[in-house]
Amino acid sequence: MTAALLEVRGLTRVFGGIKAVDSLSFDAHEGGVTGLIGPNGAGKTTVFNLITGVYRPTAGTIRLAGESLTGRRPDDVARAGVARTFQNIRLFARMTCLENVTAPILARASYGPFAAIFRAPAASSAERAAREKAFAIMRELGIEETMSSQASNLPYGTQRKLEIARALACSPKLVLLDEPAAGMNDAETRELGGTIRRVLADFGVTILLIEHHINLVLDICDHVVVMERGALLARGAPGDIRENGAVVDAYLGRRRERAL
Amino acid sequence: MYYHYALNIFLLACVNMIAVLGVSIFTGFTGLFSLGHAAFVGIGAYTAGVLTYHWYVPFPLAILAAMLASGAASLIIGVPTLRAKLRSDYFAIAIMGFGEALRVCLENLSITNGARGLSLDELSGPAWVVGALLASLAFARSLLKSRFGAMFVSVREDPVAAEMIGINLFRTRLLSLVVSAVLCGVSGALLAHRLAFIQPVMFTMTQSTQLLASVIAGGMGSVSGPVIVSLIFTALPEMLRNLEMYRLPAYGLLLVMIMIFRPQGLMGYREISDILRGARGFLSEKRR
Repeated sequence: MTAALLEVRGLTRVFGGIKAVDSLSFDAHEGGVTGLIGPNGAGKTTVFNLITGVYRPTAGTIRLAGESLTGRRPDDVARAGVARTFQNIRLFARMTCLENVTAPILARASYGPFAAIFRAPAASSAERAAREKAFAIMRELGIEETMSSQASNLPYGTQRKLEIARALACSPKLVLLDEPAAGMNDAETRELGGTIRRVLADFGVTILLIEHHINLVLDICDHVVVMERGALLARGAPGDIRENGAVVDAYLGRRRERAL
Repeated sequence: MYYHYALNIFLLACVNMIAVLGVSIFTGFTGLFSLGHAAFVGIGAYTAGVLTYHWYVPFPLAILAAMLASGAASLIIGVPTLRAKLRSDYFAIAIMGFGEALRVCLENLSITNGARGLSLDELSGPAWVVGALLASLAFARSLLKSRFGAMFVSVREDPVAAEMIGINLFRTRLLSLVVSAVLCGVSGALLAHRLAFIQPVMFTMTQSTQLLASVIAGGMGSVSGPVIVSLIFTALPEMLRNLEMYRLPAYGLLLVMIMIFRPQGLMGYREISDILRGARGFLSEKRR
């Protein structure tokens, strides 16, 4: 097995007496897809928010390739190599699709305000390179035709893909996908699975995925972490998880022993 | 005679446009509301005014000092409020307090001659005013076209997502505030030496609201819209001057009509050049 890129140890977050995440430990292995599943309210999105620095952990540590991410600001975590998508899509609605994907690249360009004001050659060439890189990412995901449409006018499935493209434009090591198949039908979900696999092969990233479409999870994940009420319930290969009695109980409810 | 009067109004409008341009960058492009930008105009006006009045500092140097003073003042208010990630409306209130505090200071200092105001020389001639406006427009255009413009708009569209793609919210918002304050400072320095008289009541919340109204009526995320509207807003009250008491209702009616019929503002999220391009495309298509 390859080395762990993301190491989460004893992660805990308390909201006013409720343990949303309770001493959770897991790894995401380099180059793989790790699935994070569990019933609604299990604390999956909170884990994403803790990794990306939206919330500060009450206890525990998060490391990316050996570097600590614990308690760092979101933009700082992003620059350390973590990109994400959102459960309820968060695109830059009134920007074009190409501008959406160009934004993270421009945010990392190095020219300063004075080069910008005087239109220094370094500035224009950095902007051209950013547009080219963004276009290449969009082509990779098959959404390059939408480049000049406004992001808010796209169909839902394409918005999801655009969000993934924007995350990839951050040059991440780790990509967190929060329910990318939410609201999609089976055909769209299968297509998304193909997209995720292509992203994995072409961009050499590691993926941590929250998803409720269990078929997608079993199909593309090589490791699954199951949460219930903030705590770790089980982890292992997708096949094992499917057979795990505790996981089935958590999702479907325990069969009650007949009285008497 | 009439020509002279019209020219004066036009130059006054140009001076206002520079301040509106500043507010447009901050509100229209970065998405933060301010009810206190007249304070930065006031700081610019008084810095330049005091320098030329008491120490006979050359006008270009006085403008430069006004820019520095307004920029520095924006850091004083911006660093604590923007770092605290106050929501946009809280920031608007904080800066409003700053503006009112400044007015009280100006009214009570001896160097500013208190509430009686300062009588200055009319140093900002047409060349200065028009030149400064063109330079400010070129400056704003380059900045907004650059990566900083892209970062401003990302922050306006979705601060959470912007932070998640690696944009430092505090630094981006602060940069936008400083740039807008510096433009307001230039506007103030020119205003002081255009009207040849300044007093503290010229830089209160009423003026801040008018700057913000120009940006909203002109359209968020547009440079040309607010600039055009600020020309109308400066000229209209003058043209309606002989209607005297109907002046203010007319102004209010205009604002209400814009809100009803064009809630996105005159040029919401577009530029006049986009429309001209569109018109050209439309015409050539017809010919074919």
